[in-house]
Amino acid sequence: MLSASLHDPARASRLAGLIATPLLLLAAMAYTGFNPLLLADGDTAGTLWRFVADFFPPSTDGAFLHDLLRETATTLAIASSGLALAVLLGLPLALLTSRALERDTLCGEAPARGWQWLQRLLRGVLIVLRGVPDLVWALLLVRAAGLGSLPAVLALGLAYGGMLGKVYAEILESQPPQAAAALAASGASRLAIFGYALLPQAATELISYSVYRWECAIRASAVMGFVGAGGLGLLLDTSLRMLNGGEVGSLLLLFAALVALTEGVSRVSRAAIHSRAGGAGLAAGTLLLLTLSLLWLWPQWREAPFDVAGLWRFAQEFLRPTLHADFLVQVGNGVLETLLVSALGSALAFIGGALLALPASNRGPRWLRAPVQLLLNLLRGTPDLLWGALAVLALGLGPAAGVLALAVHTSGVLGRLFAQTLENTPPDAEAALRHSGAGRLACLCYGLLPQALPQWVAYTLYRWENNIRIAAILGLVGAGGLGQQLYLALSLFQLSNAATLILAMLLLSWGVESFSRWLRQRLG
Amino acid sequence: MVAACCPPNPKDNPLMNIAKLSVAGLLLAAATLSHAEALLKVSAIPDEAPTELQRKFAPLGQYLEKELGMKVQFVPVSDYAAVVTALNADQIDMAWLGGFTFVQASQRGKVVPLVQREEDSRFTSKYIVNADSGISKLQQLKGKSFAFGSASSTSGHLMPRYFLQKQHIKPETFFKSVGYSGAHDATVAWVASGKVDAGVLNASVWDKLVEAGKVDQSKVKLLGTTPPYFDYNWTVRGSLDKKLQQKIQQAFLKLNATNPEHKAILDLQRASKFIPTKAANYKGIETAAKEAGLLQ
Amino acid sequence: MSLRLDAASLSLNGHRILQPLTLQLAQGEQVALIGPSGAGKSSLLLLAGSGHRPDGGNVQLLGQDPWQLRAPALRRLRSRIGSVYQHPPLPALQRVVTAIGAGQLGQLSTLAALRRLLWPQDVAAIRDALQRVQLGDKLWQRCDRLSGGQRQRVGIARVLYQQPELLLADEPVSALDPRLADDTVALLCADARARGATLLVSLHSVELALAHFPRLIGLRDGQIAFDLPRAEVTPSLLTALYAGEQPATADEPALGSGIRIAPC
Repeated sequence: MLSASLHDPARASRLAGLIATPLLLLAAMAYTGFNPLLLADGDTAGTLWRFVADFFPPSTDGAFLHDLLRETATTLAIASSGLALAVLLGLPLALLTSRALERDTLCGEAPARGWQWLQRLLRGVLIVLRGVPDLVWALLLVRAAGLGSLPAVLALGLAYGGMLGKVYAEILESQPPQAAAALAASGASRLAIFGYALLPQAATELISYSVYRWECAIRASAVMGFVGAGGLGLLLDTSLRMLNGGEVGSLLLLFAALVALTEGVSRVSRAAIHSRAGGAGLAAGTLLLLTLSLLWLWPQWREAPFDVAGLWRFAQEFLRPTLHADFLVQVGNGVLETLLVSALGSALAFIGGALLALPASNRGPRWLRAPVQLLLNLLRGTPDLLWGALAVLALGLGPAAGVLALAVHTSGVLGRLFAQTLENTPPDAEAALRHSGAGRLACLCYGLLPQALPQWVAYTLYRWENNIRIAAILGLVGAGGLGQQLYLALSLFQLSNAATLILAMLLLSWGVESFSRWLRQRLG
Repeated sequence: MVAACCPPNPKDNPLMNIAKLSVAGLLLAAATLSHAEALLKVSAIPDEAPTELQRKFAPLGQYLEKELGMKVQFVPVSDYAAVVTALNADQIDMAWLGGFTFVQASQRGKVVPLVQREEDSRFTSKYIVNADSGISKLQQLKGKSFAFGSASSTSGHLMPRYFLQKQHIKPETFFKSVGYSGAHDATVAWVASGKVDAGVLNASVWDKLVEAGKVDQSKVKLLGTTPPYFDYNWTVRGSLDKKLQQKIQQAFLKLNATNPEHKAILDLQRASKFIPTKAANYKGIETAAKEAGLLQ
Repeated sequence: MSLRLDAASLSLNGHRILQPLTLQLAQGEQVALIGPSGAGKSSLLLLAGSGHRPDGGNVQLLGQDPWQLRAPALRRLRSRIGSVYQHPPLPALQRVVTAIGAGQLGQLSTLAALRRLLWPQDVAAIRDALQRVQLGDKLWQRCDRLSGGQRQRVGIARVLYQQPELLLADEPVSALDPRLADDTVALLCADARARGATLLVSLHSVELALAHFPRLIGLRDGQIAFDLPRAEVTPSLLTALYAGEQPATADEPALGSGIRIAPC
């Protein structure tokens, strides 16, 4: 009879994993200077506590509240019109690049060479558009063409346009191809295939994703002001720099309300698509929102006209990246720092998310559930840049603050997703172990976690791809990495240095995306 | 479909054309709108909190409205470099610039310096330190964290960096970490809170904060003062009507401390009086910026 | 008495699944449970494994009422009861060695359990259990790489490794070919006999029940239709038991779908 050796064939790799994981984490901690013990330090805690205690009572100063209302409206208007621009940009690009509309795959026609080159070019454009973080787009546009909400709208339009272009194309590709193939065989054009075959199938998913993106756009536009591009971020930036706790408190409350509101609207809208009346209502609501947004923003745009010539001059200066060895070493350090900050932050968030997900999904004391869920909402509803600013206050300037900010914010995001995974995991494996007398923790580790883990890891890797971009911009609030160098270069109008830094960001985010995809495929 | 319906011009890069067309199309209306002539838009580098800037400017704005016979509007801006961009892009007509931002603006477009405060010809910066750190000399700051103001600030960054380098201190290696608080009063708040060990700021803002009792002397201590240099001025965009430029200059020069109304304006600006200035005054700043590696 | 039900009944979601049942199994006894699909066989086994609390009557397991016990005592009692499931709930990424090792979690301290998760322990005994179900070569395999029949046998190996005093099996051989099914039921009986453990097995196949078990319980509509020694189970009793049964269709639960979009 066949029999396996008593020695674990995976022994070497398990041992290596058991040793390497903590070593890598420790190395990353050493490099970024992140020492969790510092958080327990009395001075640090005292500084932080004094600042946070200032949050209460939130500022109710009349002038401040007036600004707050105005900037909230601007933020909503920026997000809505920015997303509209992104759809205008992303949908055509998706239609031009989606493989679901290819005549050669649908009915075997040979594609024209020129067409293939155009498509390759457009896919490249999409990668660049979404590879540069929206905040960096805003920073560039503010530097190039001046102040105000228009750069913010354009930045959202560009970054989200790239993202929507890719996701729209993927949604179309995931549809059953029969209807499209039949139309293609009868000689229909690309647009006709989309309109008659794919749109009816994919419409709800396309709309649902766009609404979801709107929710993200609100959060993004709330921090655009950090680079001078209008909206609530302007106030938050000032209040944080001046360490004005009361104002930060008011802003935080407002953020929480805004996030809750948009999530509610988003949920209702996504449910509404499924009925005819709901769809019509959603369309009318979108039009109304867009009209109001443009009406609100228009006077601002008229007062600060956009400098197209400046944009042009800027682009020309920008197209000559610095490639001095000295500078490249400095950029290399920034890249490594950003990479480690994002990786360590995500890894810590994995642990934090797991610990929070258990009580949030009823795997802990029942009374703990509601407070933990509230905590999760607070963690993920507070913008990452704000966490960055708070972390800088706690740990001082530098990458350690970046690690803390990412870990805290991402714990909130992952905690919620992890809890969802747990709620969807079949309970029988755990029950079987419990019925054979296993303890709670053992049931968890042997029955529940092995089932949830693959999904958890996938979520964390996805999130890491996102965090590499956040790590790149946390430098704006003094949390190290490429962002700080970029901000400096752009403030000093050293545009060729800035170009090199943005190239480095693009390479880094592309590299992490590829690595994460490879890892996910291996694990899945 | 936007991209597909525009036939590419074979001479140009088609991508650029597409980008140009879509950007231009979107912004056409906004870009072609001209300024209303009877409005003077003024801004200032945000070297202090925006609310403070507005408070400081209000009486000066009213004075200018009266003297020039036109409406004067203050445009608050959150970031130094954005003021430079806005001035070069003709989005604003006049700005309160630092020496360094003036050099940046004159490198990137045509701007005309009109007046400066008498004090600006011998300006200084102050090094400050957290009182708990027990530090009493600049050299003791080795391995500590240090905050400049804005990266684009003359008195909060450029000149202190330049003078530090003259003493063979390279901030990035000498200090444990270097941060940019963004504004002079923010630097004081950072040092007081212990967010950084030490920092440097505009002497005039420091004096004002001390006089107003806004510095907790038990938390922040003065460490030293830099040698003097040229700083701030009021600058207009080069394309502004020459007669208007002269009228503005005259209005500033007319301010006289013996007139109580004028005195209030001058006090808020922390000036004894305004004097004419010229671009050549800032050659020294330009040299320092190049030596400090902040200007290419 | 190893297992004793006194007018124990069970309702789930307001549905009466089991009518009040009375039934006793002496220590070392081996009993087969037969009956049509939906008769309540699995529920009865869950009741006997302390998986469900009866809503009427009384359940005594190994001389104790599990529902009167405090948590530590309940754990100790449960570690002496082993269950085999028709679809053993084995986590996809878990290795067979860990899945079987989990059989003794009831006897281990939490610390020992965690240690075993990081580094396999007691490998020889685990391989021994696996060899008895003829899967000795699958020791280091991941559970999602196993066929349905192999998963069933890994589930059996887990109980063999657990060595419980009361062994409950729910359709333990439904995915095995007839010869292997016969061998496996024989293995369960032999193991129980060797250790003096009590065995209650529900079986779809009446032939297997008659071939291996001295006592048969027929269950229909949540009630005991008969509880007789093998010799007294007549063809007419069996015909009545299965009268009007529809051929059952297998339904595998679908597991969670993948994710498409990264959250913002």
